[in-house]
Amino acid sequence: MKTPLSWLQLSHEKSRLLIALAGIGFADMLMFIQLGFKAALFDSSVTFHKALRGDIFLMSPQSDALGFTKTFSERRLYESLAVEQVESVVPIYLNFGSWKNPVKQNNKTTTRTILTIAFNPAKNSLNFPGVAENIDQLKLPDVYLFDDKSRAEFGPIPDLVKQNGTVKTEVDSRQISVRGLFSMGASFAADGNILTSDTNFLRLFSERKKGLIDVGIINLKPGADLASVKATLKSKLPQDVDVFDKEEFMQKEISYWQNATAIGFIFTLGTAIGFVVGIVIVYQILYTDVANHLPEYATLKAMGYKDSYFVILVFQEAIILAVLGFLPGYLLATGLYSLAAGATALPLSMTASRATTVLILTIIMCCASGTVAVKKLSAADPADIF
Amino acid sequence: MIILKGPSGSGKTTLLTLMGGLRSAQSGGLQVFGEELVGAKKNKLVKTRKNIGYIFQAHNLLASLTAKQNVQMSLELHDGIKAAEIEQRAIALLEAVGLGDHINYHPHSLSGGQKQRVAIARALVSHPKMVLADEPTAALDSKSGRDVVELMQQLAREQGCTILIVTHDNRILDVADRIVELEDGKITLDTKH
Repeated sequence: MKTPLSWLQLSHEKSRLLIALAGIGFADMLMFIQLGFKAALFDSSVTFHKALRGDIFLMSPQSDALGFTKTFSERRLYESLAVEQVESVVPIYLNFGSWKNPVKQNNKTTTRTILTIAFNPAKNSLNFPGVAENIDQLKLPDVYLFDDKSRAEFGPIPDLVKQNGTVKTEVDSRQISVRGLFSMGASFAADGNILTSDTNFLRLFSERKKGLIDVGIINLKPGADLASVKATLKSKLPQDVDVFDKEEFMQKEISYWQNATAIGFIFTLGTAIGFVVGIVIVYQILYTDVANHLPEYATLKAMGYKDSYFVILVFQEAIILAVLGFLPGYLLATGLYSLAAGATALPLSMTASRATTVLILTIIMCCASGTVAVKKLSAADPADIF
Repeated sequence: MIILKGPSGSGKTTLLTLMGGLRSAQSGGLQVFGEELVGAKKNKLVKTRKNIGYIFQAHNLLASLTAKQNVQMSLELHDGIKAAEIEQRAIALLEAVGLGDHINYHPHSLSGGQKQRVAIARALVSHPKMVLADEPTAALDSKSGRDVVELMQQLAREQGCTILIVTHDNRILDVADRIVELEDGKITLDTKH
């Protein structure tokens, strides 16, 4: 084995190595935080999608995202029942209504837009805490469940429900009563959510026609082949509906918000800044390292070492720094994720794919710095050391 | 053992760097080991360097490596030597220069004379055909300077290699087999002992 000069050189000056690793770890942590928040915000936009119980989803091709859907005929849903492996279907209705805060603010009545979600309560189709326990209430006329993670501007509804059992208010000027709570959370589209039956939904929004729905859920029989059923439905159903599996359904929502908002851009910019900070730090370290060792390198050149040996040396140092600096960055970011998740209620956690992304970015970052630092090597002229 | 002397600016160091393939000569003729170095490509110069050992005024050891690793670096340059043999030869030569119990020391914990002895071991371990030494005693007191030169003389005899020393130090002239004096780039005196 050859003498591992790259490692020996880096580890020879312990304090400088530690500062270098702290710098790279910091740059990595910046990238982790930015990428983590971006993913968490997009993840939060699909909590509804995740909670829907179903295998295949239908939506109008003109629909953009949750809350911005165009309706389509529920006949498409019943047509899909003809496919052998389909077990059941559930129509979902969505609409925004104007919620009146039952508690007056400064003697003034305030209203706020709220998302109304509705389906047939004969069977629970939504995996949110509180839905299963309260679903029977929804069979009563004008009874609703309120999302206790809605923003505070809708009024202290969770407290009132817990105290009195029932809260009476108005949505779109129609008297309704809230008789239970469920937990969903605000999203990009809606600050608050209420849940009711399809029948109540059509009572509330009299302009909406029965049979024109926003999302269609298709459940398959046990053991059915998802991909083949999806392909069959795509070819069988007319072009006025899109067919998604759950992953695609969520991806459509995420890509809408990615394109419609600056969130993607802002956090990508933040990641890029972390990347650039890292390049500057690593360049500084490698450049100083090369500059300090110039007489030694010139000596090695005089002994007969080729230029390529030193280029490889610098890149080895770059990769060692990348891998070693990644570890503290990773650990720090994992800790910060759990802190931030507690403080913001965002779904923030370390994932293997994000760790891989950041590790690869770190290696690219260090090699980019190495490429610049290598130029300094030509200053090592063996004729100058005599 | 050849000593090359002459006043400052006489061209001693330039001659040394040309012979060692560290600079490329532009015109005239320069043959080292029977190879013409005038107008030679970089690759040929690098190849020539592998057959030459260098000893510098400032020892130029690698600070992050131990004495043994410094000597090994010189052997690792040559293909086909096994790792075990490299280590064995490095240790043997460090013992030969009297540093057998300092093989794992870093340069900063060695004295000036000890560092120069490591540099000698590094220059000679790969059995070069020629060793070029530039003022090897300049940074040493007379006692250690003397020791270092005698050590070089002894090892050169054992290995049968030529050592060319550029020096101002008149105290070491007696070890030379041949003394060449240079002035304004011309040889003015060439005596054999």
